[in-house]
Amino acid sequence: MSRIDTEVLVVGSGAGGATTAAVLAEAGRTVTVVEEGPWVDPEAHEPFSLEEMRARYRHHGPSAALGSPPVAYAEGRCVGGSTEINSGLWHRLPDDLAEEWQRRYRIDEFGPAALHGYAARVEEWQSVSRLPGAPPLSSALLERGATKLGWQSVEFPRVFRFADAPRGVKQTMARTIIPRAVDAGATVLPRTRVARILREGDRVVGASCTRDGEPVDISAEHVFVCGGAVQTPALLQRSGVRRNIGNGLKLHPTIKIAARFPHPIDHDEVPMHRVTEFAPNLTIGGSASRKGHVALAIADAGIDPRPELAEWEHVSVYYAAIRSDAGGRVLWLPGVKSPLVTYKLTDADLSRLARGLVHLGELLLAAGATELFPSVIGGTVARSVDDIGAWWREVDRRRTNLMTVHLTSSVRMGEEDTITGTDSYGRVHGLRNLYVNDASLLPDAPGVNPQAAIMTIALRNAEHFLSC
Amino acid sequence: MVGALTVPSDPALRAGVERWVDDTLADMPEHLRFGVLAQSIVLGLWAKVRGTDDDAALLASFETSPLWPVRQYVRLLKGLVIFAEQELAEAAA
Repeated sequence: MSRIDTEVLVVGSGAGGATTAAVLAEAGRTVTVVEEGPWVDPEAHEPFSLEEMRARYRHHGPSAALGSPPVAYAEGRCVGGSTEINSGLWHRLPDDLAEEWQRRYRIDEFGPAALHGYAARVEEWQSVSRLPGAPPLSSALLERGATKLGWQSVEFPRVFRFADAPRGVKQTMARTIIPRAVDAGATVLPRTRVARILREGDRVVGASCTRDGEPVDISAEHVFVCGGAVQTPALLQRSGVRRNIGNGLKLHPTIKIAARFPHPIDHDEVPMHRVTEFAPNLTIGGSASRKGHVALAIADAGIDPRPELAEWEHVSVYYAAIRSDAGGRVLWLPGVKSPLVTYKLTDADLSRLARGLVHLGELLLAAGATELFPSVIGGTVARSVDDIGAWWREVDRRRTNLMTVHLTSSVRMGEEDTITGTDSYGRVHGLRNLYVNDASLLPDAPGVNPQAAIMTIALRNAEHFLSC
Repeated sequence: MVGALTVPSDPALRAGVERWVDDTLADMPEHLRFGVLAQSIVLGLWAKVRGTDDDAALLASFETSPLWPVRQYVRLLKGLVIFAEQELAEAAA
């Protein structure tokens, strides 16, 4: 067995872990980052391709929160975490949500003004910007439909850098913050899985790991767990830390439509426009739409997609995502490698999803779509607004296919310690030197892509740690 | 089950789809993998009992089963097959 000594151990290298590692390493701390997945060249694979799923996704892509209906989800598992596989859309935490969370969970120093200061710094690191020039057609169609209906739509900024390439280069953690951490002296160990955090009384002393199957013990003065909303609570639970851990899971349930247009549509990028008319409780946007995604989206309507794919370039996939009342759980079970994830949608959530599907259908028809396949088995294939009305009754627990890529809130931060797993800065209640610093801390689903909130809070918490 | 769900007759493409699905199943969370495995066994037994080799018809009946786990596992497997089939065919083209 090999042994590593470090001052700070960071578990996970995604938006939260990379930010934590860079801030602490640049402040002169000795930092070791362990990442369960491999270190993959950012240029190695086409985005959303099978090869990328094999290399960068946990479980090669598919997983699911069990429930009625279940919710499919995907996580990154590589250096950079889910920032390597997401669409790179950027949205600051809305002020009203920050204020609500501050009040309800009693989070110290969580006012919008303070958070905007941290967010602005992260945005500079990440080259957050809007697309120079006209948006691709897949995105412009969202704007066109919204304009016709008198709805508000916004081109979201993204973590893309345009100086070196006309279509931009996504500024993932592997391209930006991880190299910063390494330049400041941090050590990154890919393919290293933490079996459990080692505890002595009210302190942690390191972690028991395996690297390429070989055992490695890491001794550390401080441990930050940043594995994301599923892996972080699972690791804490199997390390014996269970109070308010894993039982507040939130996600954005998402329902889709494969929309056929009378003309070809670009399929290289995820649309950057979002319809925000009903935000934050309902957001409409576009998804990855390679041929496989188009086929899958048509199959979600219970239709054999193959005959529909002769002109697949005319079809693109769009979605409606809701903030749900429901909650879920992440539960580690002894002897099982993957945690059990459950999510119990409420009847009100299903009603919101039906409303979202109807609004999405109206928008796409207004944008010029000629045929809409909803992700509801046996759902009406709509060719006019009159057809869409059937969806109100067709969205049910038995037939609806849902997915998400946003999972949060499985630990939650705040001084209200009956419902939170950590204090206001991510320190786990009852332990002096164990911290969480990732999506798990967000007390609720933000209704928007959470990467900006995760990085903003991670920077805030890391700097608070340095100040103590 | 993968064989029954895969439509193209090209042996190389069918092999590619089966390889992808096998690899994905092997890496899938246990609670999903065991569900798919259990369903594969049931499909085999059912086909034997009914004396039919019409796997596609049996799968269709699974897909509309009143039991949600039965429906979901077959949809999951079908999704994997369709995605791999289209992506591999596109890459080959």
